[in-house]
Amino acid sequence: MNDGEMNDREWLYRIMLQAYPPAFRGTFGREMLLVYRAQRRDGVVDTRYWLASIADAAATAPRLWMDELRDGFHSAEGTMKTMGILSALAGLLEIANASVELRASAFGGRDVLSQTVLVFVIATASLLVVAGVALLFGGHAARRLAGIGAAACIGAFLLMLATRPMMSVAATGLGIAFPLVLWLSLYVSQRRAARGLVA
Amino acid sequence: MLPLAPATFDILLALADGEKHGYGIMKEVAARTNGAVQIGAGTLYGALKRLLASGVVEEIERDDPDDASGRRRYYRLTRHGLDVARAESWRLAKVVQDAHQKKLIPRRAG
Repeated sequence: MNDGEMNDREWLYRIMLQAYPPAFRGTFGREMLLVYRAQRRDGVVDTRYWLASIADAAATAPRLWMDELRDGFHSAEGTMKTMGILSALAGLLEIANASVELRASAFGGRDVLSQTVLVFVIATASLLVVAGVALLFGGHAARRLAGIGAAACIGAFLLMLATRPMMSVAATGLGIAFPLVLWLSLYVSQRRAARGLVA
Repeated sequence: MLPLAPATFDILLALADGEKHGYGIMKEVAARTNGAVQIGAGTLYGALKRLLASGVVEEIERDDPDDASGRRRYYRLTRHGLDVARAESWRLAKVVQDAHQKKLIPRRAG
């Protein structure tokens, strides 16, 4: 195999590096590429080398992905991104649920107060979706918005329970329990950041 | 931290006599074991990531004589890393001693 053909194979090594998690590639990707180039110069890159390298990547990449996911979840930023995704999903679920109830109440002849409360639930759930998206981008304003969204959501669902329980127990539980969890995670991550335990 | 994974201990052994870059570690391990142990790049840098995080190894950047376009990371044992390597060596020595006592390792002739 001549040097030109060897150089052509570097793309294959770069593709193989994609098996590793982004942060790991960011730290060690260039070093691994330098190792590959040195091995190529030393003439050890052959079919057996590729089989061994692929087997090595298959054996080591899953643990590194697990490490990275765990580290990401344990960092303040990772926790907030996870909570952002969950907030957006919970908000969308509540909007869909309340919209169905609102449509049903329009045909069922329910009172105006119930319909007003359902509209309020949709508005607060929309705020939760916006806050969830904002949390994905991070920042102090996003945390504040998420705190307000969670408080408004709890208020709306308590109001709904006080007037007339129309939505399912699961939906009501989610509408109250999830914002409480969101509040708690915002508080914990703020304390952690203040103590300098996490980035 | 003990016992160490075999590949991790091989890396610490390679660094025991001085700092090396990644490929230097791989070549030292292969040469010391007559090619019986070949550490892959994923295994090497995965282990180095954990060793760096636990303060066993530290990295230093240097100009790379083989690559004019940039610098290269070299790795060396910290004082704590040297203690860990010594502790693992003692542990393995005890294992070998036990194996001798149980006559699992034949005595060398002469």
